[in-house]
Amino acid sequence: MSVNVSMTVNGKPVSAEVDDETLLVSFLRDHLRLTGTHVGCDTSQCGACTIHIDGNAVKSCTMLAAQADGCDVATIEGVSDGEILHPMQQAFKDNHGLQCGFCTPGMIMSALDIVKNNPTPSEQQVRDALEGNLCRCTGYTNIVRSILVGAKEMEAS
Amino acid sequence: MAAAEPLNTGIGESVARVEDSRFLRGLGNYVDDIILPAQSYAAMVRSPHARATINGIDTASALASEGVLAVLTADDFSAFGGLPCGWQVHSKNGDPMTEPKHPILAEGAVRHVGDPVAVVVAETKAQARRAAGLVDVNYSELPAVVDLQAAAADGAELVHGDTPSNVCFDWELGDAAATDAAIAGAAHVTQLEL
Repeated sequence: MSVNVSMTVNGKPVSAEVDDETLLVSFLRDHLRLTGTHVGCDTSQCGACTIHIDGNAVKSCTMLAAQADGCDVATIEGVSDGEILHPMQQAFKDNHGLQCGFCTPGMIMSALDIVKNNPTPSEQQVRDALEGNLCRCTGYTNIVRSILVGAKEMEAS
Repeated sequence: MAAAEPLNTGIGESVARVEDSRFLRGLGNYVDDIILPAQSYAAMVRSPHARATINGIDTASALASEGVLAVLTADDFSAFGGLPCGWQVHSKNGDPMTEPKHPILAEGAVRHVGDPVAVVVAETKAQARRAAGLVDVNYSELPAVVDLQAAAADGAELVHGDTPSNVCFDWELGDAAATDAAIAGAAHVTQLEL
């Protein structure tokens, strides 16, 4: 059965007829071609699919597109101003907070959620809050450092 | 001799990565992000058992399922050998390692949970997954060994039926006498069986 879904994605209204079993991440990737949101595990463990729904970080492989009907969705593609990186993205670049880059969109979206809820997090708070995001390249030292620097930059700007 | 100009070789200096900007903006274009005209998708059918005999695989419903282009099983790969091991290790007595065939898809038996049994190719990801669920594999479960020591014990169930034991190779590296001497003279010794 197909359903009609409408939502705002990165500030733009979108509408589509999709299979009712379509996951939100598939809707973003396959229908809207926003492939920055990645599917790492398909089981809600790795966090590569993290996006924001109505301002909160959510794993988009865990919900149906239909469940996001009427919601305000933000993905990694909406974070920068064109090629001008958001301070959090810049902090990841400056602190080598990524290697292969596959987990990075989810890391950035989680990082922004962490800072939204706590503008001056401690290292331990960042580590705890990153529990749902897995990196298989670098370990977490540089990612945590990036988020701490990004939080400071966001606080300053 | 005049001081050498920096060579910008990347050796001994930080190198700014050119790929970071697109990775950070979600523009990485990984293989899973690519969609080409008439692209098809594969879904794997995997063993739910640690060890079992495959009595038969019924692919009829999967083949008849919407959008399905092919359902492949081991029979489709009979012209090919197994997947080779890229690094041969000889045991310390000089014997070559025991290397049972590692088939592309399970041939008559599965040897671990997740062992690939069939591949379904369809026009969409959802169709491939749906049809993979329709592949009916008839298994007879067998006893399994699930840790290294149990697998290496005398009389253990053989993971591959056609080998003398489950031991692949018995290897050592280094100077045994010097190592023993160093341990004998150590202030503290910790023993660990892995």
